[in-house]
Amino acid sequence: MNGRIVETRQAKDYLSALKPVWCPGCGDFGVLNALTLAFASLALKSEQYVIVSGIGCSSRMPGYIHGYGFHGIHGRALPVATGLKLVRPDLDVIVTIGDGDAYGIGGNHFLHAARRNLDVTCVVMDNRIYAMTKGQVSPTTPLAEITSTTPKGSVEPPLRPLLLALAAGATFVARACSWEPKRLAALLAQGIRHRGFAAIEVLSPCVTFRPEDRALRERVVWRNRAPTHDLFEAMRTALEGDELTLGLFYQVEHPVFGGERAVRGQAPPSESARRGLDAVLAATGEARGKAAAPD
Amino acid sequence: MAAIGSGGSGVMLLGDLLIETAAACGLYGLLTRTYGPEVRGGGSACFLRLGARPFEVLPDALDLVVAFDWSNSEHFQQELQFKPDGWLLYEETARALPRWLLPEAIRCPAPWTRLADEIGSEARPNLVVFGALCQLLGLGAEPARAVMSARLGERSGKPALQAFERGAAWARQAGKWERRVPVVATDVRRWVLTGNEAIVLGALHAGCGFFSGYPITPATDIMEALSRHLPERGGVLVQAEDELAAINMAIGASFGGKRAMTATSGPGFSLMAEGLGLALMAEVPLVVVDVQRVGPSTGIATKTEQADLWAAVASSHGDNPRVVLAPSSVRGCAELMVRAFNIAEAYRVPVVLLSDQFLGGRVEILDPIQPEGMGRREQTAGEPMEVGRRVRDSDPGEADASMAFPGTPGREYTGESLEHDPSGRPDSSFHMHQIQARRRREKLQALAGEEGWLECCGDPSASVALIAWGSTGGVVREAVHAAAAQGMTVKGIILHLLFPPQPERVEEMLQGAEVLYVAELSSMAQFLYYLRAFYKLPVRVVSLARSGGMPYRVGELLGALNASDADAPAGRM
Repeated sequence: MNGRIVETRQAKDYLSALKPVWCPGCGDFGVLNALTLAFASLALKSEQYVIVSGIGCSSRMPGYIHGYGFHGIHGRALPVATGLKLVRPDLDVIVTIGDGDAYGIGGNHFLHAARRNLDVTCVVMDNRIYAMTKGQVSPTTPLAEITSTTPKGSVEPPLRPLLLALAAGATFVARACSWEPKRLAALLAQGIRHRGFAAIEVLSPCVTFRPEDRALRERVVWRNRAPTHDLFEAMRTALEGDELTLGLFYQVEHPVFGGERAVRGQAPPSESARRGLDAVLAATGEARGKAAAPD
Repeated sequence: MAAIGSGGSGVMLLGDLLIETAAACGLYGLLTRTYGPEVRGGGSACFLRLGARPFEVLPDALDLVVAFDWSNSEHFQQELQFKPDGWLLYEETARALPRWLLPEAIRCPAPWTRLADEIGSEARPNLVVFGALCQLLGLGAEPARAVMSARLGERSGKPALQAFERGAAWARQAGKWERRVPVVATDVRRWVLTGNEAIVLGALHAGCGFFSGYPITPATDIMEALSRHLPERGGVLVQAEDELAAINMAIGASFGGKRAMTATSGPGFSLMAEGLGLALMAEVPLVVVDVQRVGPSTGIATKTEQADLWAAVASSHGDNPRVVLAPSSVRGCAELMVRAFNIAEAYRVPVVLLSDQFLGGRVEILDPIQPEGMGRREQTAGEPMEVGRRVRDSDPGEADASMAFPGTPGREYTGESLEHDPSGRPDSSFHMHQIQARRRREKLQALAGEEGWLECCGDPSASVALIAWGSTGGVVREAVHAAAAQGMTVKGIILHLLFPPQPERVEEMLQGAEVLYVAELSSMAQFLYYLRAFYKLPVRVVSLARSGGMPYRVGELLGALNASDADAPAGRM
């Protein structure tokens, strides 16, 4: 963002004309608010970012922000963001998805986007329930909770998203909450500036299907220490305070996916590889790019 | 001819060396490769046809079989049909000849292993055989040595050349087995390509900038080739974590402004179905290649079938009018890839290109495609459009080609999977869905009206027509010529655009046909029912449908055409 001409833009200037479909009091309003605050603080131009989402309440986000957006299908926001970021490294790509998208149907993509250190900001709006389909158990629903599909209480222990992100290779791992938009905005801005996969888990309570999660307000604790480079320490911190500690726990600089990275060199063609295509490409002069093959 | 042997015996390398040498000698040729189910150590076979004209099908029977050993050879038993004067050359130390081998084949044991061993451990029997076959078939030693050198690199040193010479010397002494293929002098440097390589060539020619895929036989070599050629042309390739990711990555890259594709086979194509629906709804250009194999499920990964037709035309969900193209030749794979990218971009629609293992895996010697023959890259993306409008207001049926890429100031919009109005704003009203569903369907009408997608061969006025698509189209071309040589008049019809349907063009082509034979490798006769769904067919329709696993041979189709009505299958299912 350095070097860009800073325009005086306010958070509200980043809102689109669409009225959110969210229930009154939904945590997702706080995330929307925080995103616009973060954009304003970074003075982002509205054509320079893309909000990519999946399916669910969280994933309505692109429609509510003025700018380029892509509202895809359930679980596949990160693959869409991967293709987009690889061909357009000039853009800031922000993924806004829910716990179902990130840890359920799209869990595999979360693992691999983190492992590759894809340079996107992945905001998981975790309401610990499938809310758009009206209240089914999700991968982060606490144990023994009664939902529309667990009438006797969930028997599946919830996933630990931060441990997952850390283990998979995310290079920026944070937990925040939707009801403190300014603190969330600061984290989001840091995440957008971070080069690499920024996993930001946001507690974003569903007032309709998990009204009890409003009580999380009383239980969260912000941790104001600098992020560690130590994976084990970060994992311990992530587990502290009943997994309700908030803040940026871990940040390291690693090569990003698609960026400069040491390569082993060009393997010689194996004996089993046919040569026909090489000969045709050489004969037709099917243009090679200016970029030379890696040495 | 055929060559068989256990994995590691060098059968596949032998096949490649022979067809490359034949090309250098001015011959045309077709090479297919067959593997048993094992990755290594199982049986492998290659089938090679050489001659003075291009081939699209293997012969009904073989002149020559070369056997390195008989390990797992029963896998290929049905494919090893000898001509009456066919001959068998086999390694003399191999175990006893299998009982299924036809007694009439002329047999000749050969000391290839001993000849190789005499040279040393670096010499391999398959190069001895290569030398022997070049001698017997009359392929020049000079081009053969050049091909060896190009392919083997450092390993084409003295022991390799000695092995080649020993083989040739043995063949000269065993000269009675000689069957020279007439070599044609030509200055043309012909291409030696597989269908999958032609797809890569077409993609590069079309300016493909992004590929994401997941390994799956028999489509993997498309990704392997692109991994070498795409990045050095400024493109990006990702091996995705699964096919769900692969198609969505391609959608993301296309949204970002690059020509994007993925390639897979049936099982992977099933996983991509939901992504196809997304590309349709968000109107993101995309090319998806499906190199079909025997299914369902894991099926036979290394063998061909044409049973993803319904999946290609109708998979995904909701009303989802996409484009389905089907090349019927290696040349067509390259040409249709260029058209696929152009169509995807012009109509903002996913294009499925249906190939199959017989087309994708075979090696063909073909005349070079001139650059103009490959088609021009038509760039329509990135044109300006009205501020705030995702699509240009257009008359129904007019392809909507305007796209704004992220980063363009003042054109911001959201690619939307929800039903939406023309500005991209979600809209769940009955009224808007009517308008948009119709527009998505009708925008393909211009394509449906295009000429040039149907191929007619043989006698256009014949009352007997034989219709096919995909690799079976190539067999039909050969069968129609063979039928003419036998005095039969047959019209061959090959479809290259399967969706949107072209009723006027197809029915015009069917004019005068009183009986229509439908050839396809699908036990459920998917093509027959596809034709019945979209086209008015002649009263008499005879389905030749059978499952895949082995392509048709010319004799099989001619036999069906010659069969009396009583023998003809009356119906299907």
